[in-house]
Amino acid sequence: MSGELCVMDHTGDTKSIWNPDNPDEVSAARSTFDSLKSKGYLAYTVEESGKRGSLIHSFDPRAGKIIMSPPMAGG
Amino acid sequence: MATWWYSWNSSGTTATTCVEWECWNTSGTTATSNVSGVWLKWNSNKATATNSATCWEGWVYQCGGSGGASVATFTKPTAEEIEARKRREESEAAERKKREAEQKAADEKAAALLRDNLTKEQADALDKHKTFAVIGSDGERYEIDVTKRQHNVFLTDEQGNRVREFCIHNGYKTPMADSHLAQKLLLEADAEHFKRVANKWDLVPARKAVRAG
Repeated sequence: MSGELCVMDHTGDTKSIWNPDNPDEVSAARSTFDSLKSKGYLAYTVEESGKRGSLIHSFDPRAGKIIMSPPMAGG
Repeated sequence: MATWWYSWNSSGTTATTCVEWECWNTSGTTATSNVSGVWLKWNSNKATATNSATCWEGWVYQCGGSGGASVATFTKPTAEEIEARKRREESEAAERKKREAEQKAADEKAAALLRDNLTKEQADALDKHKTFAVIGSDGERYEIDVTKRQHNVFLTDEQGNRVREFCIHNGYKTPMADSHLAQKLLLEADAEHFKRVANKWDLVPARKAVRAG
């Protein structure tokens, strides 16, 4: 089953998909993940619609869906 | 005797009986009781009061007086300039329309992502009240108001009253619904992190909000 990386941005969000059994796709997704994490993005794995997400700090190729948000700041 | 204001408006040579506003607009050489309009007089060439130029044209006349260059500097745009301005305005309108369409699409996409990550109860509350409740990882109940990006998260008590206000968001580059989803996810995953980052205010009934420590 494919994994999906959903990154919040000015278009709403940009999704990229990877096949956990394809090393190139995993590598590309990991690279995106790591790059955004280095900029302070928060990453969550979400299992099912509405279920609570879990914060993750490293890329998990077996995660079904990862949502990444720009850094949070006090307003 | 002229009043202070009245005198202040008089011509330098004589006290005049013309009204203050009209005096203020008279030519520099004479007090006049001529009845050219105040605006027209204000725009007059200094040498002569004219009643033939339009206000706009009068306004751009140089106040040269005799020997001076009292040539109208107002020039009407050429047909080419008018056309160029029309093209520029059309292009700007098209660009604006494109940006609005992109923003609308982004807002809809973000709203769909948020809804996709809500329970049925949360989605129903969102539709009905424009807020939805979240149980934080600290066990507390929070409300997220989706009509605002900031000052929109509230800790509620057992009766459902809002007792503390939080302001925290993920910036302005994403649509508002993305920020609401980010608030929900962080509250549920790590409420302590949420509370550390957010600015907070205690909501005291019948009094001003007091900033919390």
